[in-house]
Amino acid sequence: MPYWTTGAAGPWSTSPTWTSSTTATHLYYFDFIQPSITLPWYYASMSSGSTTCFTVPSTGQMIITDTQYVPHGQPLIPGPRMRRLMQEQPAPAVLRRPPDPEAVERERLDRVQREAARERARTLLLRHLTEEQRAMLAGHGWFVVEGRSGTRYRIRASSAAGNVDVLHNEHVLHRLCAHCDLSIPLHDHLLAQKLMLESDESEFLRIANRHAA
Amino acid sequence: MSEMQVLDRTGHTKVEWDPENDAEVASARAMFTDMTGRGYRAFAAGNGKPGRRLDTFDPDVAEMVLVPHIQGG
Repeated sequence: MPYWTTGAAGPWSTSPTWTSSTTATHLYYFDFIQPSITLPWYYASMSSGSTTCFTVPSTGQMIITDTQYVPHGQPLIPGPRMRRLMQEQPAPAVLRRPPDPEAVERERLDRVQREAARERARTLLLRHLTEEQRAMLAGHGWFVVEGRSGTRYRIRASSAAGNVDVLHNEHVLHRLCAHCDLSIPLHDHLLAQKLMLESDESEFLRIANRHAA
Repeated sequence: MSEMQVLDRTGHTKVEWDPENDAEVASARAMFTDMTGRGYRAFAAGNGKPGRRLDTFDPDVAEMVLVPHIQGG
């Protein structure tokens, strides 16, 4: 029997609909998942092809994802990989495992530390921006820096990857992607990109991958 | 006081030194050398001024930022 849930608080169902709302408190069997979704609480345990299995030790739950893309709102239909995985990993057996209080506490502390790191990184970035750049960031979610070549770059704070627009007369020529290890907070990436573009522009351009605007 | 901010998963780690204090300068220089040896890039920056790449430790720089290795994505 395939088990599904229709949302963060939804009941188990055999006819699921996609939702972007995910928490660690429910078991999800996703045959398809949007690649951009973030699973901050996951603990990777195993993967097979494009299907990945995550376990959450605190709850003993298991999340199975597939990197194939299905637009929002479309009903999910279990594919062959998911049907096989559902047979191998029956949901009720996983659900019976009780939560581990220590793991729950570890997850809570991790979350607190990540939030503190995000705030420290944001404060540091703001210290290194001009008043005009701070206003851009607050008003638009991006700021502009100028390289020594005179080229202007727009650094968007929406993501650490693919977030640098190369500007020409306010039009985007193309996008650049270069970032630090993704374990550091987002605003640290933005500061690193700013410093590199201002003072080591040619090196940044050498490293970065180009993407169409 | 001068300071060095090393970007890391905590947001950043701050190292301070008094340019007149040889022991503190030596300690900061050792950290600078260690981090740049591990692929970090150093920049003099602060107060909204454009960054300036630092290849060697300069104890008189008021504020510097050490950036982890950057890779294309």
